[in-house]
Amino acid sequence: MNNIFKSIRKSFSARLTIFILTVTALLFIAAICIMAFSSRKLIQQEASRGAENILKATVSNIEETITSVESSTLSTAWMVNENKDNPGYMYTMTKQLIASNPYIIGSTVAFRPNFYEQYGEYYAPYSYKDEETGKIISFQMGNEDYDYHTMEWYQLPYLLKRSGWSEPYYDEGGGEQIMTTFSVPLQDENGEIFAVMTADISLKNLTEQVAQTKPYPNAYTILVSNNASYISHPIGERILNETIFSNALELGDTTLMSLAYKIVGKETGDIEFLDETGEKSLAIFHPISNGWSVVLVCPLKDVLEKTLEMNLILVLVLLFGLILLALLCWLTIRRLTRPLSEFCDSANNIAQGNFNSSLPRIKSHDEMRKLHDSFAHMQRSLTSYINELKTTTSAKERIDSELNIARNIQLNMVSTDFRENLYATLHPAKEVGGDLYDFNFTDGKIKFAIGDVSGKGVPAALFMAITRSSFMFVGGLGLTVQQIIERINNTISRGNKQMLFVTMFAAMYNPKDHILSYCNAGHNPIVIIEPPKEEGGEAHAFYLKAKPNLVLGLMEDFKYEGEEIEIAPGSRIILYTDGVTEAENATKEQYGEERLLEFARKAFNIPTAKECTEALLADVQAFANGNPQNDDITILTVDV
Amino acid sequence: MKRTLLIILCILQICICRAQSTITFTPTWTPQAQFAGYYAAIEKGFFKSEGVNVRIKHLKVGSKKTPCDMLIDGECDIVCISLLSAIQMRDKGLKLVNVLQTSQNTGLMCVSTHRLSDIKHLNGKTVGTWKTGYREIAEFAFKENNIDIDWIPFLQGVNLFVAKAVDATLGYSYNEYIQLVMAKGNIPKSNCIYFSDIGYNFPEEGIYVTEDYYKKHYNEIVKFVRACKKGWNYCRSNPDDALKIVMKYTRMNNIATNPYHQRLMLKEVLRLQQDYSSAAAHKDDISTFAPVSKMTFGKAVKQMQKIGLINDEIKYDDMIRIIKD
Repeated sequence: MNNIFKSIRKSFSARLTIFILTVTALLFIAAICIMAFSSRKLIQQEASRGAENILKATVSNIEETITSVESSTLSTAWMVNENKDNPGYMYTMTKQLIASNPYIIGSTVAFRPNFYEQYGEYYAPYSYKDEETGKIISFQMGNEDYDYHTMEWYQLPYLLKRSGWSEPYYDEGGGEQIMTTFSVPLQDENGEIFAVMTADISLKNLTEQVAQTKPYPNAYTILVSNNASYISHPIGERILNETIFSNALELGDTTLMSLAYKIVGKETGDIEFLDETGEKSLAIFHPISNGWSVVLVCPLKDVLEKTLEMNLILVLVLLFGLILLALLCWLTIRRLTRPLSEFCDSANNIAQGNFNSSLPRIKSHDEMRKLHDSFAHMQRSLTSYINELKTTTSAKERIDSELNIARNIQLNMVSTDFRENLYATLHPAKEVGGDLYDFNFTDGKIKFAIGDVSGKGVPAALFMAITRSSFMFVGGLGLTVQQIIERINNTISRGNKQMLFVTMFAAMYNPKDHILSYCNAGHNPIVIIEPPKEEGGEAHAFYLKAKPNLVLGLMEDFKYEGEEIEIAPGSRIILYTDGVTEAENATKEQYGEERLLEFARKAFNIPTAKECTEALLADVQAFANGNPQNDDITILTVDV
Repeated sequence: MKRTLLIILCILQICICRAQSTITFTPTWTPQAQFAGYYAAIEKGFFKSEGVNVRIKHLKVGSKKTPCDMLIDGECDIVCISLLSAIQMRDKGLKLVNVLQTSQNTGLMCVSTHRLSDIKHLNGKTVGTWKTGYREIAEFAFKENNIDIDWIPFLQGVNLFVAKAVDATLGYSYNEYIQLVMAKGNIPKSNCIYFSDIGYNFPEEGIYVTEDYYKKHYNEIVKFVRACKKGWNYCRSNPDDALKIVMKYTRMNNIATNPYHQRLMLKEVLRLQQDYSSAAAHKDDISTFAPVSKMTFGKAVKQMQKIGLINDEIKYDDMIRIIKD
């Protein structure tokens, strides 16, 4: 599985195919959902209409039975009035009624108490059709054990003074079966009810009619009475025992309750509900003229079977489409992106230095052509660049070699003939630098100077060479430091079109009178460290105050002022260029004059000038902590 | 030898059967949860373990006969009727004695097609009632309040009321009220008056025998009463099982009903068996099967005399027999 994911991750065509498939599948699913929802609604509406029509046909059939029974009974009832003086004739009439209507299985004319004095409280000639023989049998059914005056089929028309249908009942004294009775009150001339004529229908016939209403395999139809009792129900046990309300209350089902209210309210309509098995069903209900209602219950599973089939086909088509799309996508994308792999190989060849590696042949004029052209251009550019680079590298190598030679020459130019009391060091920032120093010992005096040419690199190095040569020459003429400076200034000022300049501090120490003569041409003040005045005391370090004058090389014949100072024997003098004080660490903090003075205070105890010079250089480098050196560093230490 | 032994065994069996003659018991109505305790006593063998054979003979649907009629005709030995019916029967000459009071409260109520805030609103109205009686408490209330009622006797059920053939109907909270709810979905409480709420809470059902039977069959009556109590206690502890028993009896007798109806009926009947008046006095003790108190009995007799339901004063000691376990 991991390998599959890896190959998918590595394959552009696979990833693009999956992306296209995902988007397409989502769009398809959305379309199917919308279609399924719409078709479900339409099919349900259509099914509801269809079922309603079937239900209406059933209602119409029941109505036909009811109307037939009602009209037969009513047409016979008026004859009772005509023949009420002949109680025995009632048997004949009830028999005639049963014979005249196939639906009627029993009939009676039940008289009010003592209507016929000779018969007393009960007189109800009753006739019924014997199921086995088909014969019509008659008897007088009223007696103390069958007190019909308190029975609903008698009381309702009696009290309401209108004909109507009774609630279905189990007639123990009459037909010995579950029946429903149509009762007609019979009134005398004074409008008083003297008897009730009835026609009994077997529920068997009615429920058979209802049970035949089955538009779907699992659909069923129920017949509900005025009192919400089940008259017909697929579960026979419920008939007359349960009501639609008792069902709903027992289940605690509010939808069923609402359905029950609609049915009892003689409404027509449909409602979706969960049946007792938890299956979503559609109940379509329609009232009958006698106050009952027929309810057709269709499981939605059945109703929407066609939708399900259609959805299944759609899903299969979708799956097939997606597979086909995946194949086509993969093949097309693979064909389109094949040059990319070849470009990749070409790029690898180019990377290995084969700039003339062949590129794939592109016939199209699309982005792939642009990529081809870019690759070709890149190949040409790279070839040209590499050639230029070769030339440049060779020139650079030559310059580097020359600079190394120049560096050696420059370093050889400065004096290295150090004494124990004098030592110096020069560290150019680049291959060659602009710093210089020099010294000589003539007439028992020590002459020494330090300088710094403006700028860096080769121009500064050349200018330094001129300056150093001047100092060497002038320094040996027995001139004062002031004169030395002026002579050097005049020498380098001439023809200095580049306006380069040099700062310089030149000094001469006479050990006899301990006088230090000096002249400063714009250089940093030098540090003097005097020995402690008393044993165990602390050395005194300070910057020598000197008139700055003007840097060398800018103005010919400039008059420099020299100065003198008597310094204590055993003092140490440190000269330096700005590469020391301006050395920076990573945070751009400079070494500074204060830190140098601090070093100087401690440096008195360093035994030799060489050690002191190296210690200062090490202190500066430690401060810079590897930060690149920006300027040449030159340090000259003289012990007097 | 074997033959002689068999003959002796047969004779012994016949003697035992004679000794355990069958008691016929007739309850107030057709089979329903109202009599669950008695069915349970049969089904669970409580009568048998007490050594009495009991047969329940229900009223015949459609018949005019009451349990007392059956007692008079010798069709049964023991009946279950209301206290007020029993007092009335005793006044008429049937020497009934109460051997067990089961229901401590009345569940009688009146349901109207319209809002019913006062029973006086029923004056001149048609009110459905059972043809077999059971309306003594209602008659108390109506007569005491000078309410003239046009009684419409019906066999059973609530169809007259549902069809609006009557303005109101009498019913019991454990039966007709539930039937109405099942037929209409909901019956507003504002359309109902419970007679117990308006000062007519008399004990209802009890077990009655004739004085003569009591004297002759005292031991069997004691056993019968004990088994009945066990039966009711079983129903209280095992309502689900009791419901199954009730449903068995209703199905056997082709009674149109359902478990929902019978479950609610059993619950209500058991509630009415609780003596709430004594609970008020002793909050932790809601006793059942408490005998009718002298005070309640006296009050019933006095009121019945007052409205002419009985002529003579019926004495407590003559009618109430307290049988201790």
